[in-house]
Amino acid sequence: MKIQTQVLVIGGGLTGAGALRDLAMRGIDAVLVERRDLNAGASGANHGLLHSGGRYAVNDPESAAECVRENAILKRIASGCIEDCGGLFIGLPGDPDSFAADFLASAERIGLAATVMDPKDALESEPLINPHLTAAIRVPDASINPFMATVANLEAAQQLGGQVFFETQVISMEREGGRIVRIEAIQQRTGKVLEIEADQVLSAAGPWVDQIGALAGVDIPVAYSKGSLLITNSRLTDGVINRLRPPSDGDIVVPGETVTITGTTSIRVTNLDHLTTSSAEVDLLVESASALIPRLIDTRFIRVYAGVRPLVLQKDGADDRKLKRTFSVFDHEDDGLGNLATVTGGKLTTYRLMAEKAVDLVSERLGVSVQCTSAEVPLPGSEQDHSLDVADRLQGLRTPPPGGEVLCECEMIGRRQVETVVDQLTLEQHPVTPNAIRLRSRLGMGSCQGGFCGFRTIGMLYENGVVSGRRGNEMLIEFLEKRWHGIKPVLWGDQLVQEQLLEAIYCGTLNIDGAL
Amino acid sequence: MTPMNRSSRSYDVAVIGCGLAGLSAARQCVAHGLRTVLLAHTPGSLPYTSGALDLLGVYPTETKRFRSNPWEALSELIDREPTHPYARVGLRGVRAAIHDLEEYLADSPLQYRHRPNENMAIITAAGTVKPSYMLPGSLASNSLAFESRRPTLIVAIEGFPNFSSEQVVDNLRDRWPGLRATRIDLGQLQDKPRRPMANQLADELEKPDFRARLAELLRPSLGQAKFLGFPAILGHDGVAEVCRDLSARLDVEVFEIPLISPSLPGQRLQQLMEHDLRAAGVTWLQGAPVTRLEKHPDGGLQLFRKGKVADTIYRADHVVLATGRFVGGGLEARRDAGVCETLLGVKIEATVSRDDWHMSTFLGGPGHLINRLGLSVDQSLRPLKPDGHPILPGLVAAGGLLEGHDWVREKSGAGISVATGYAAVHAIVSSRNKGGRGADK
Ligand SMILES: Cc1cc2nc3c(=O)[nH]c(=O)nc-3n(C[C@H](O)[C@H](O)[C@H](O)COP(=O)(O)OP(=O)(O)OC[C@H]3O[C@@H](n4cnc5c(N)ncnc54)[C@H](O)[C@@H]3O)c2cc1C
Ligand SMILES: Cc1cc2nc3c(=O)[nH]c(=O)nc-3n(C[C@H](O)[C@H](O)[C@H](O)COP(=O)(O)OP(=O)(O)OC[C@H]3O[C@@H](n4cnc5c(N)ncnc54)[C@H](O)[C@@H]3O)c2cc1C
Repeated sequence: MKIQTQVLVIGGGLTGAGALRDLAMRGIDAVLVERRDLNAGASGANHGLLHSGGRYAVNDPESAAECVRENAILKRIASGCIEDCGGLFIGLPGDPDSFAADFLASAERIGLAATVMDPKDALESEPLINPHLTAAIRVPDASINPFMATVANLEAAQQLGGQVFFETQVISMEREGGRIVRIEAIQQRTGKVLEIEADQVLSAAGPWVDQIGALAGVDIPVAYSKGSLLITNSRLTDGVINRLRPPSDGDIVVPGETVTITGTTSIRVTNLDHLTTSSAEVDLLVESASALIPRLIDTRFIRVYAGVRPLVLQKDGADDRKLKRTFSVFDHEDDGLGNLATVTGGKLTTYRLMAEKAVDLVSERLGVSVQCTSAEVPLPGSEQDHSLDVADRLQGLRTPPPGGEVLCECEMIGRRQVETVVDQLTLEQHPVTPNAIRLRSRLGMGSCQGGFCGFRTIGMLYENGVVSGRRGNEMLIEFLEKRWHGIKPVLWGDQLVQEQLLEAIYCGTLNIDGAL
Repeated sequence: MTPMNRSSRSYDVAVIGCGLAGLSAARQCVAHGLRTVLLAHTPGSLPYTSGALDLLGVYPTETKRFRSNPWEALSELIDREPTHPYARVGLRGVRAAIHDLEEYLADSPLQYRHRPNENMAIITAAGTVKPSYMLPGSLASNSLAFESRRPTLIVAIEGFPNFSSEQVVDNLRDRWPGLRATRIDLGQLQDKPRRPMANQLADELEKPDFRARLAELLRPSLGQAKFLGFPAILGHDGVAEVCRDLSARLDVEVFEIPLISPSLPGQRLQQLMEHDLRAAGVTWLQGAPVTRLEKHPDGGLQLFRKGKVADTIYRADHVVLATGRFVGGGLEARRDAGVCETLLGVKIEATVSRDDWHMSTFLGGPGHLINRLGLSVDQSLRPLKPDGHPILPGLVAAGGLLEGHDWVREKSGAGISVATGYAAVHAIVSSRNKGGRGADK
C-alpha cells in the first residue's frame, strides 16, 4: 500500500497525538503511525500528574513556568480528561528548612499559585498524610488520564481528516539529496509494508527518537531513564501529595480515579523494550511513599509499571534528575536534512506546547502560515466545562451499568460499553484484543487486573463473532501473560491471594496451561 | 483478652479448616468414633473448585506430560519426590483414602463416578480439556460426551457472563465436528426476569415446571444432538434429578461444564459433606478464626477461637491443622518477612527471595517456586521445627498447606487434601492406640 501525505507523524503517544491534531487544525494533511497501540511508550507509563510546576519550581524554573501555563490551558481544553483535585507539598521532620522558602520565592517569580497552609488544616483536608508534617503548601496540581487525553486528541484529528495507523512501525527511510523521500513502515499483524511519501516527517517517538534518527542517518544523543510506579487497589487521598524537598525517589502520590499511584524512581537503562522492576525497587517505592502516607506500608498494591524518559544529553555526568526537563525540538538542518523534525523530552503536562512548537517548524517549512489554535479549542469530550467527576464515577461503581451484563466488576464496566469500543476498533480496522479494549475503557484496571473480566470479554468476542477458532484463547493467554509482567513484582499479601485464586482457576479448573 | 469460658469444650480431635482436607479428616474421625470439633473461618477453597476431584493428571510438571493412568504416575512421583505429600502418605495410604472417598461419594446424591486406573477428560468453559479422576454425575456425562464425540449441543444463557457456548465450540470443533452452539433467553420463562446469576438460575432449575418450559424452548434447536451441555448451574443438591429430568424430556444426555468461580459443583460437595458430618455428630463451628494454638496446661492442646467479646477456648487431645494455602488462609506471604504459616507463626522459607517466588511467565512450566513452599512434616504428618522435632505434640497437618507439591500444575489438588486428611487421622489413631494422648504422651 502507498500513502502520500504532507506530514508523517511517528509515534502515537500524547505528543504525537497532539501534533496530529494541531496539524489537522491548521489544515495540513497528516498521517500518524504507531508501532504498537496508543500510549505504548511513556504516555502510557507515567504518574498521571498534571504538574502545577511545583515539582520543578526550585531546580528547573524554566520547566516549572511551562507547567504553570500549560496546566491552566489543559484544565480549560481537556477538562474531560482531568480531575482538578489540587495538590499539597508537605515537609516532614528532617527535610531541609530552607527549601520551603526557596519554593515560595520561585513560585512567586513564575506565577505559580502556591499557598502556605497550617499543617493542622492540611491534615484535616487529607487525613491519611503523615501526621508529623511540619509544613504544607497548596498548589494547583491535578490528575490527568493520559489514555483519554490521547484518544481525544486522535479523535479531534481524525474528525479533521488526520489518519492513524496502529501496529505500524517505521523501519526504514530513504534519503535523497538532503530529503527523506520515502518511508517504509511494516504492519505488525500482516507483515505488509506501507510505503509513505511525505513532504515533512515529524518524529515524536519519545525515547525512541534516536532509533528514528538512526534510520534517517542523524545522531540524536539521548539517555534513557527508567521510572517505576506502583498502583494501589483503592484511592487514599483526595489530591496529589508531594514531598517538600529537592526531588528524589518515590516522593509523589497521585490519585487516579479509583486508585492511587506512587512513584517514581530514576534509573539509567540501555534497553527500552524489556523494562523490569526488581523487588528492591518496589521496596524503595513502598517505603519512601509511606513517609508521605503511612498507611501505604501495608496497603494492597495491584500492579507495577515502568516507563522511560528520554534525557537529551546536555552535559556529561549530571544527575538525571537535575537534567532539564524542558523539551527539545530538533530541526535537523545541521544534519543536512530539510524535512525531518524531532520532538522529545518534556512532560505529559507540556505535550500541547511541544506539539505546537514542532508543528510551527513543520508548517513554516511547508509554507503554511495558519496560527496554532490548539490552546483555544476544547478537545472532544471536554466541550462543557465539566471536569472528570470522581464522585459521579464512584457512584457509578456502586450501580450496575446500563446495557447488558457486567463484564468488569472492579470498574463496573458493562457489556454495551465494551461493545461500543469493539465496534470502534473494528471500524478503524484495529486488532480487537483485550489489551486494546483495556486502553480504551478501564476494563481490567481494577484489583483483579483483568483476571476475571479478561475471560468474560473473550467469551463476549466469541459470542459476537469477533474472534473464532482458537484465536480467542490465544489472545486470553497473551493477555494473562502481559498483565503478569506488571503483577509479579507486587505479589505478597492480598494481591498474592488474588493471583493464587486466578492461577487455581486457569490451571486447576480450566487446565489452560496444558490443555489436553 | 481474657478467656471467659474454661468449661467442658474438650474433644478427642479438633480439625481446623473445612476445605477438602479438613472435611476428609473429620470423616475419618467419625469413622473411628472420635469426639470431634471442626473449627473453620471461611468455607475454604471448595466453593471455588470445579467439583471434579483430581488425583494426578500431569507428571512430571516440567514436561507438562498428561498421564492417563494416575496410579502409575503416582508411584513414579513417590519414588522421585520424597517430600511430596503423596510420598509422606505412601501409595497404600493414598489408595485407601481415595477408595474410601470413592465409596462414599458414589452412593451420595451427587453420584460421583471414576474409572479404576484411568483419568477421565472433561471439557471446560474455556473450551479446553482437563484431566480428572472422580467426577460428579453431571461431569461424568461431560466426559462421556467428549469421549464419544457424538453430536452435541452446547447451551449458553443470554446475559450470563461467565459462559460462551461459541468459545467452547470454536476451541473444540476441529476434534469434535458434531459440536454446535446455541444461546437461549431464560427471561421469557421467568415471571420476573432478572439479571441471570448462577445461584438464582440453579434455584429456578430445581423447579419441574421451569424445566418443562426450558425443554420446550430448547427442543427446536436439538437437531441430531445426543448430548446437551450446560454451564454448571443445573440446580443445587437436586442436580442429579435436574439432569435426569431434562435428559428424559429431551431424549438426550444432559451434562454440565465447569465455570470460572464461584462454582456450584464445588459448593454442592461442600454442602453434602458438611451435612453428613453434622449428622454424624461432629461439632461444626464456622465463621470465626482460631487465633492461637498451644499446649493445654492439663495436657493435650488448646485452641482459642475468636469471639466478639472474648475468645473461646477448646481443648483437644489432637489437632489436625488443615488451614489451606494462601487462598484458605493457612499461609501468608509478606513483603518483608517471607512466607509464614499463619496460626503457629512458623516461617516457611528463609532463603528464597521475593524475586524468585514466581517465574517470569504466569502459565509456563515447571511452576512457581512459591507453590512448593509449605509446612514441613514427617511421615506421620507432624509439623516440624527447623531442628527436625515436632512443633507441638498431638499436632498433625493436612492438605494444601504442606510443602513439596504444586497441585495446580500436577492437577492433584483434591487428591492431596483427601489423602493427607485421611492419613493425618490414621496417624492420630495409631498414636492413641499406642497410648499417646497429645501433650501428656
Ligand atoms: C516514570 C515516568 C513518570 C512520568 N510522570 C509524569 C507525570 O506525572 N506528569 C507529566 O506531565 N509527565 C510525566 N512523565 C513524562 C511523560 O510521560 C512523557 O513526557 C510523555 O508521555 C512523552 O510522550 P511522547 O508522546 O513524547 O512519547 P511516548 O509516549 O514515549 O511515545 C512514543 C511513541 O513512539 C512509538 N514508536 C517508537 N518507535 C517507533 C517506530 N519506529 N515507528 C512507530 N512508532 C514508534 C512508541 O511505541 C511510543 O508509543 C513521566 C515519564 C515517566 C517515564
Ligand atoms: C479456584 C480453585 C479451583 C480448584 N479447582 C480444583 C479442581 O478442579 N480439582 C481439584 O482436584 N482441586 C481443585 N482445587 C484445589 C482443592 O480444593 C484443594 O484441595 C484445596 O486447594 C486445598 O484444600 P485444603 O482443605 O487444604 O484448604 P482450603 O480448601 O483452602 O481450606 C482451608 C480452610 O482452613 C480455614 N482456616 C484457615 N486458617 C484458619 C484459622 N486460623 N482458623 C480457622 N480456620 C482457618 C479456612 O477458613 C478454610 O475453611 C481448586 C482450588 C481452588 C482455590
